[in-house]
Amino acid sequence: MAIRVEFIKKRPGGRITVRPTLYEKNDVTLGRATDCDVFLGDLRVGLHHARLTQISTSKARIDANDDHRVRVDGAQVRRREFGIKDGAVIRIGPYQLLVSPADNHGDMLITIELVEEPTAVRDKRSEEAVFSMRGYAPDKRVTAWTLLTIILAVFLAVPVALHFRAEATDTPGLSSQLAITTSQNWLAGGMSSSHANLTADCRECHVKPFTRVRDETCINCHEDMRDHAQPEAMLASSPHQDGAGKWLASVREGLSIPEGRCGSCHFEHNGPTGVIPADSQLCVDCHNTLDQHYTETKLVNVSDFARRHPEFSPAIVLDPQTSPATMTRISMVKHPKEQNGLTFPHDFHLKDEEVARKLATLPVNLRTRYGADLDCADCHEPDAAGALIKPIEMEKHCSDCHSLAFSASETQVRALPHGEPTEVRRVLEDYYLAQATNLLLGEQAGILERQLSADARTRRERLRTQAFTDARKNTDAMVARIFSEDGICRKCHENEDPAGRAGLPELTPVALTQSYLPKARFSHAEHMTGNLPCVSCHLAETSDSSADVLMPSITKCRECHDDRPGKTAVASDCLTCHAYHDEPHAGRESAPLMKPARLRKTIGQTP
Amino acid sequence: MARNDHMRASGLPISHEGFLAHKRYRYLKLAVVVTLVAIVVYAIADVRVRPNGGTWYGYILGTVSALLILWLMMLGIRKRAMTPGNWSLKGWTSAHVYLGSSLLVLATLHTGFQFGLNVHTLAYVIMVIVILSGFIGVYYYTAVPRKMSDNRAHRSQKDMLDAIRALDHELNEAARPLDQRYLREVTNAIRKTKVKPGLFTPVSSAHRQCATTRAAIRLRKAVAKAEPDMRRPLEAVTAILERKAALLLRTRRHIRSKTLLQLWLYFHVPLSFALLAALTAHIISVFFYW
Repeated sequence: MAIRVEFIKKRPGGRITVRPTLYEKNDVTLGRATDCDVFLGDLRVGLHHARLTQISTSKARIDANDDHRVRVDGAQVRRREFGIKDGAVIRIGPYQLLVSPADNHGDMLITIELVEEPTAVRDKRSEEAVFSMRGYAPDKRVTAWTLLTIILAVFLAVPVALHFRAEATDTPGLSSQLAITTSQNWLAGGMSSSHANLTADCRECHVKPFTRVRDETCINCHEDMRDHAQPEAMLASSPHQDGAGKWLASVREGLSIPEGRCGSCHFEHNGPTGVIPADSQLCVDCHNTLDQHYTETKLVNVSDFARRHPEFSPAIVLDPQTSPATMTRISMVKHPKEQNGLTFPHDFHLKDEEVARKLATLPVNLRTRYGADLDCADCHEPDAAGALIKPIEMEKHCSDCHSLAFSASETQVRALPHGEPTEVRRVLEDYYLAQATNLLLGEQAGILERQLSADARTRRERLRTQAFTDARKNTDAMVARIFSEDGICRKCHENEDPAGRAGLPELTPVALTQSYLPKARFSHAEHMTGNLPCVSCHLAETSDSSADVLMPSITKCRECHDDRPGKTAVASDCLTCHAYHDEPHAGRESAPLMKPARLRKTIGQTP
Repeated sequence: MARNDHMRASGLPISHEGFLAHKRYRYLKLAVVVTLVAIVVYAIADVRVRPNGGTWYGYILGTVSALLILWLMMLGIRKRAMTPGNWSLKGWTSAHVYLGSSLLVLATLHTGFQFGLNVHTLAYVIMVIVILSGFIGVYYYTAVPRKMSDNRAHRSQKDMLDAIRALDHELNEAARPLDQRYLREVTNAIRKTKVKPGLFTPVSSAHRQCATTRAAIRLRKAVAKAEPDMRRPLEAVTAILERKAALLLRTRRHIRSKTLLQLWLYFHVPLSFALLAALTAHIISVFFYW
C-alpha cells in the first residue's frame, strides 16, 4: 500500500499541471509546518492540521489534530472513516482533497487542488478606491445636477407654469392653492399694510409678465388720487438736470427705471410701512429752490424742518361777516389777530373766581362734570380719531353756564333759541301774548259776548287792546334788554348794527376756525404723551381775548421735531405733517387727478 | 521680464509664487479696489427710496455680481486646460479667489440688507455658503500640500499600496511557521485591515483600531512569552506588522490630506450649480413680476 499525492494547478488557458509525489507508507501528515508530508502553505491551514491514514485497501481515515477541524463531504468533523472506492471530498482551508483508489493494487490517490483564493492578501484595493472620495461623498456631478434641477423646478418652472395655468386664486382648488404657496417664494418682501389683501395673487398687480406694474393698474383702485399740483407748475418746478443729475437720470433711463411712474416713489414689498416713501429728499428736490424754477409760486423754499421751513401761517378770519368766512394765511411772525366775532377771554375762564362761583351754583350732575374749576377739556373735546378738536357748540359747551333761560314768573322757565334772533323775538312774543290771553280769559271766563252790556263790552274791548299792546311792549322791552349792551347776548357777541333787519338788533356772526393749518396733518392724540398739558403749546392761560391766535409757533414743534443729523428719533420728514397727493379743499382749485405716466408727460409738455 | 535662473524645458521661468501671491497680489489689490468703490458708491448713491436690488445702483451691483458668478464658474472649464503666461491657470485661480471674495460684499450691497424667506435670499444664502466653502478650500490648499508631501516622503500613491501589498505577502510567508493562536492576529492583520479611514474617524483612532496595529502590539507582547522555537518566526512577523502599521499610518494621513483638499469641493461645486439655478430663478422672477 502506498499513497500517491497529486497537486493540481489549473493554468490560464485551461492547461493543467500535475505535481505527483508517492509516499511508500500508509499515512501522511497534512499541514503548514515544513515537516509535514503534504505541505499546505496557506495560513488558513494549521501547522500540523491533520493526518490521513489508509487503514486497509478499501478504507481510510482522516484525523484532525489539536482543535483543528476538517470538512468531509460537507460535514465539519474531527475524525472520519470512509471507503476509498466511494471516494471522499475533504476540505482543509482553501484546499480540496479528493480521495480515490490509485489503481488496482490497493494504493490510494489524493488529488489536491487550491479551490479558493490562494492568498489572504486582499489585492482589490485599487488606488482609485482608496485615495479618492469614493464612499465619502456622492459624486459632485450627480449632486450638482440634482440640486440644479430641484431649484429650477420649484423656484422657477412651477411658479411660471402656475402663472399661466392657475385659475383666479379666489376659486378654491389645488392649483390656485399651489399658486399662492409657490408665488410666496418669489415674494421679495412683506407687502405694505394697505395692499395686504393683494398678497394672494401676484397677478392682481403684475398683470403682464416682464412688464413693469403699470400706472393704470394702480389707478384702477386709486381712481380719485390727485396729483401734487397743476401739471405746468410741476413741470416748471422740477429741478433742471445737469452734471451728475443728468448722468444719473440717463443711467436710470438706461436701466429702464423711468421717473414719473407711481412706482417711482411707491415701492411695494418693503414691509408694512414701506409703500409711502418717508424720504424728504423727494420733496426737497423741487422745494429747495422752488422760487427759482417756478417764479409764480407763493411758497417759500424748504429744505428741512429744523432749519429751513417757514413759520406757520395759520388760516386767520379777518372778517366774520362773509359767509363762508374768508381765511387769510398770516405768518405767526406777524402775530396775527383774529376777528372771529366772539368775545371769549380764555384767561378768565381758566382762572377767575367768578367762574368757580358760577360752577358752584350749577345742579349736582353738572357740578360733578365740571369740578371746582374749568379746564381745557371741559369745552374742547377731541374728535373720534383723537386727531383734531371738535367744533365748539354753544348749546353743548357754553350753555350750562351761559343759560339762555328766561323766566317771566317763578314757575315758568323758557329757553331762548341760540343763533336765531328772529326766533328769539317770536318766542318772547308768543310768551307775552299767551300771558295776555290767559289774563283776559281768566277775568271773564264763561261769559259770552252777547250776554254783556254795551258798557261792559266797551270795557272789555279796551282791556283787550291794552293787554295786547302791553304784550307787544313787553316783548320789545325784553328784546331790547337781551340785546342791549348789558344783555345776555352781548356777553359773548358783538352788536354790529343796533338797528338791523326786521327791527332786530344784528349780532356779529361767529366764525371759529376749524383747521388753522389745513395743509398739514396734526394728531393731538399722538402728542398726548406723558400727560402733556394743553397749555404747554397753547398759551390760553395768558390770553384775554379771542383775537389771540393760540396756535404754537414752529419753534415749539422744533423742540422735539429736529431733523438735523443725529438729533432726534422723532419723525420730522415732510410726510410727518404733509401729504404729497392733493386733497380737495374748499375755495381752492384742486390738482388734477393722477393720470398714467405717459399721459401726464404729454400733458405737461404741451404749453 | 528679468532673467530667471529657474527655467523650464520650454524656456519659461519656474515661479515659486503661490496662487495667492500671484503677480504680487495683483488680484487681491483689484478685489480690494472693487470692494471699496462698491461700498463708497453705496454710501453716497442717490437711490430712491431705499437701498434695494431694484434701484439703479442695485441693478448695477446685481449685473456685475451675476456676471462675476458666471465668470467664477468658468474656472471649472478653464482648469481643464493649463496654459502659462498672463492668463495662466494660476493667475485665473488667484483672480477666482480674490474676486470671488469681493462678491460677498457686492452681493450683500445688492440686497440692500433686505432678506426674507424667498428665492432671492435663497440665492444669496447659497452664494455665501459657496464662498465660505471656498475660503475653507483656500485654507487647505495653503496648509495641506506641504504637510502632505512631507508625509508622503517621495512615495507615490501606487507605491504606498504596493508596499502594503508586499508587506502582506511577506507576512503570509513569514507567518507560516507560527502557531495557531498567533496566526489569527496575523490573518486579521492581512484580511481585516481597512486602509481608508471613515470620513468622520480621526486618523489617530483609525490607527489605534486598525487590525494591523493591534496585531503588532499583541504579538510584540507575545514574543517575550513565546516558546523558544516560536520566538524567531514571531519576532520576524511582528517586525513586518510594525512596518506595515507605520506605513498604514502614513497612507491614512495621506488619504486624510487628500480628503481635506477635496471635501470642500463637494460643497463648493454642487452648490455653485445650485447657485446658478437659484440665480436664474431670482433674475427671471424679478423681471417676470417686474
